[in-house]
Amino acid sequence: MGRRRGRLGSLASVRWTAAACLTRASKLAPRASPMPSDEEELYQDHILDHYEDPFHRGHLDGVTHAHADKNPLCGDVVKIELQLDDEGKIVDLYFDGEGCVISQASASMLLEEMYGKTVDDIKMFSAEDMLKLYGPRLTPNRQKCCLLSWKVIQGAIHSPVDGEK
Amino acid sequence: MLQYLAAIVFIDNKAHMSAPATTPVDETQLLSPKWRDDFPILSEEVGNGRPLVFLDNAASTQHPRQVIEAITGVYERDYANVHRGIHTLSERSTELYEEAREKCRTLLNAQHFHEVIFTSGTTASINTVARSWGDANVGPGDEILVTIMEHHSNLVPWQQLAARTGAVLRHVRMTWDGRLDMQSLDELLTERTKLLAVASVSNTLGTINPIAKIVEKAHAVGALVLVDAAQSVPHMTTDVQALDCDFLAFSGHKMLGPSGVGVLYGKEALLDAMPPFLGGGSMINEVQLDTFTPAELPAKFEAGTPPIVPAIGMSAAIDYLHNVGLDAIHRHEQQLTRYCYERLEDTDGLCILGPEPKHRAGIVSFAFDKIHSHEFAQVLNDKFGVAVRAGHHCTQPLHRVMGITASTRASFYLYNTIEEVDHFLEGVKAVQKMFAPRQRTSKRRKPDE
Ligand SMILES: Cc1ncc(COP(=O)(O)O)c(C=O)c1O
Repeated sequence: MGRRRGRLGSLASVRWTAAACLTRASKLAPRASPMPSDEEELYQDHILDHYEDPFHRGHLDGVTHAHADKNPLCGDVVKIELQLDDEGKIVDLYFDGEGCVISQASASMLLEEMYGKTVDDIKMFSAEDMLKLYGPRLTPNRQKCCLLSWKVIQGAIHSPVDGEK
Repeated sequence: MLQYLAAIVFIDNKAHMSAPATTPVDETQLLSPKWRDDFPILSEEVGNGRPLVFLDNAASTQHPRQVIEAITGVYERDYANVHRGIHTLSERSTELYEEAREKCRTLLNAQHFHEVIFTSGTTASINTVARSWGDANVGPGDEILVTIMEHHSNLVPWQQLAARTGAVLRHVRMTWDGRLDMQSLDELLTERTKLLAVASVSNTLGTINPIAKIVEKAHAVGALVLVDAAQSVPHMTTDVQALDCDFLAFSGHKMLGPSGVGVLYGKEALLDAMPPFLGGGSMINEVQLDTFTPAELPAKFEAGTPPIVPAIGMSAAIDYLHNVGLDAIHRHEQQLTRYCYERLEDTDGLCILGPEPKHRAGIVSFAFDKIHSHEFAQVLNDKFGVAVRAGHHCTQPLHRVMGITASTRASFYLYNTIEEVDHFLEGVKAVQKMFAPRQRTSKRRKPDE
């Protein structure tokens, strides 16, 4: 089981593959939506709730796959650790990171959504699904914050940690 | 150094917390709000009918009708390529374009008309010097000096030059309160120093650097000085002869003009000796199949069709700025800045980056220990109609040195008012309240938790 940890620790040692992820995200990201419509609250209560008291934030002991990335524009950082079994089922998953409410709350929401699911479910989960999961409509720049954890989890399934096959 | 500065920055905040004394606004120093009527965009509404409060002027400024009309006027009456045709329109365009150059010469008090080179902006101006002067004059073991508060566009071109030539890049430190450390400058300036590249005003800290003194020190060891004046030329009087700087760069879009045009000023003797950078039309005297001879200044550095209409728009902007008065603009911004600074500084958990008001231009950036700058920018926009900048403002190394990744920046111009600053401050308070921890207990945990 994971142990919870407040802040970012070993992120610096993780390989950054920002460039690769960015190209992919820009291809997959849905068309820019217009400005948030009338008074759509970006910071709904359940989002702030995820931010303040996140789901599975910390470090995972039995990690098999991990990836981290940052949003160079604003310095948001997210790292995700996965424990996958031989059938590709997600045994457990944890994230850590630093950044704005949207980047951190969306990571928490994504992990909660993927808990108990499979690698295939992650692969099937599109950028659009991620934005829908977040809820309030985001401008293109804020979509980058929201999609950071989504990019990271997509990268994590292809990034076995040392000592794993 | 990293911990040192980060620690100091936050201690500084605490030290000030007990003394939130505020200086009364000197109304006589404020500009008349009537200037606002010249800016159509200021009556725009954003985010559900809130009047726009535009405090992102360090990134780019808005345009008065006079500039917009100058631009449409050229397109409607005078437009053609410059320096090429002998037809009427080409002559008119050329005249307006060269008149813009003369306006820039006056703005900078440059000695010669041809010391003003039109570029696409500050970034292009700096790169021109790094490529042309740099490649011709810098070699292995030479040193280029920059400061840690530089914008990426006054840092990366020098990193590239160092990589091309084997020169060494050195960084002048800053003091704990975000001013240039003159002792560090003295230590780093040696006969190995070929050039010092420094911002006259930091676009993040707002610090006004003592350029004349810096130039004197650099010249004493035989080093040249390039001034990144993107944040000073639009806001205060500039005199390149008094400063005695060797190169100076600025952008039209930060001074009420259009984007796509900027200026490189260089001393005549230096520009004359420098090889051309971009090759193409206009910059040549004569071309053979295998060779060319370059044109005289300023054409030598203006290859291809220049930013004709942007330059003419900038010319109208300079007229406008002279009409308002650059000294008056500076005084107005000083009032707004002090007002904003003194009211922000007693906010719990907030840290203003950079020095006290008397050392800064119209820029106030801050970081909060618990709330990301994105939240400020987003809520200020959505709920208050206030446009501010969030992020690193193209000064990543500076942010890193201060131990943060991002900050929120408010930057003022001649059309901003005390009421707008109040509105901004009210927004900051609201954001703080909105994101204050509420001891949430999760209702979402999976059964295994
Ligand atoms: C201090 C400073 N230097 C350089 C620049 C770059 O100017 P531009 O993007 O117009 O080339 C800016 C503005 O972005 C700036 O604030």
